[in-house]
Amino acid sequence: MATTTAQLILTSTDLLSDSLSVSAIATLTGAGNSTGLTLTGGLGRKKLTSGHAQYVLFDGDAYANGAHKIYLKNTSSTAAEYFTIEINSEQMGKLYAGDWAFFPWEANADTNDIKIDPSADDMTLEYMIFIDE
Amino acid sequence: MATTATITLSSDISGDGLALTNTATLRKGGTTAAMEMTTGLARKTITGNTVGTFVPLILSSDLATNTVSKVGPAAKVYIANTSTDPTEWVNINIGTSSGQEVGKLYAGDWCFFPWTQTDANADILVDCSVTTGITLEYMVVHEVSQLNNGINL
Repeated sequence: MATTTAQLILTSTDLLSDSLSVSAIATLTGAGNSTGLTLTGGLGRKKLTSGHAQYVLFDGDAYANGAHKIYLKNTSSTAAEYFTIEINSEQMGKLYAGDWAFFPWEANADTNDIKIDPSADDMTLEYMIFIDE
Repeated sequence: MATTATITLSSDISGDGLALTNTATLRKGGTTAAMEMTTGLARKTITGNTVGTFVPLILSSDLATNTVSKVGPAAKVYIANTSTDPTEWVNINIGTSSGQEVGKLYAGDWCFFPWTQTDANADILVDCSVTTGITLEYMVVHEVSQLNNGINL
């Protein structure tokens, strides 16, 4: 059994008058059990070179319903460049330059795709999925 | 002014292992200016709910009635399920009218994602697997500073 951990550290010394330091660590396990996830799509990079139409990054049809985890990072260094993240047809948010996201994905319907739409040509997204099978 | 979010992923899931660390500085959408607003770190116990029915956790800012031209496009949301029972989950959903389930946070899981608040219905809702109470920790770092009727629950 593999052991995969995801840690978040959220810090700020000046967002509030008191310093902020939030830390959370999760061990990635299967749905409703304590078994570590054993499958991954690996760390990948995707460059959308021409046009910036919506692209299906993870197809809901290709994964069983489960406690999958998704990691995304916009590698751009141009502040105005973002990837719009959609699940099915609902916009989650915009991942601006240097931003990353980490969230659960259930893939509970064939249409529950994760789609990305870059704001400019030649933008690169780093991504990874941890799969619950 | 800077708020940073660092993720570290560590694993022996593959023969080569995994040791990934990335830090993002939280900035207003499309700029290099730092985020200045936050809900603060909050805790809420969802109890007495109906399993299978989503309830609001964080309300979207209302673009339809908001005269600010750029409302919270780069907000970042943190949610953690503090339960220690591996069977207890919290399902995360975005949108009230044509909402979309994102996924389930099982015991100890957390998530951190951008939230655009495309309209007044782009609320973040949750559905808990038990009615006896699951405590969530959550926080939004955002750039909505005026005339909003959401976020601040």
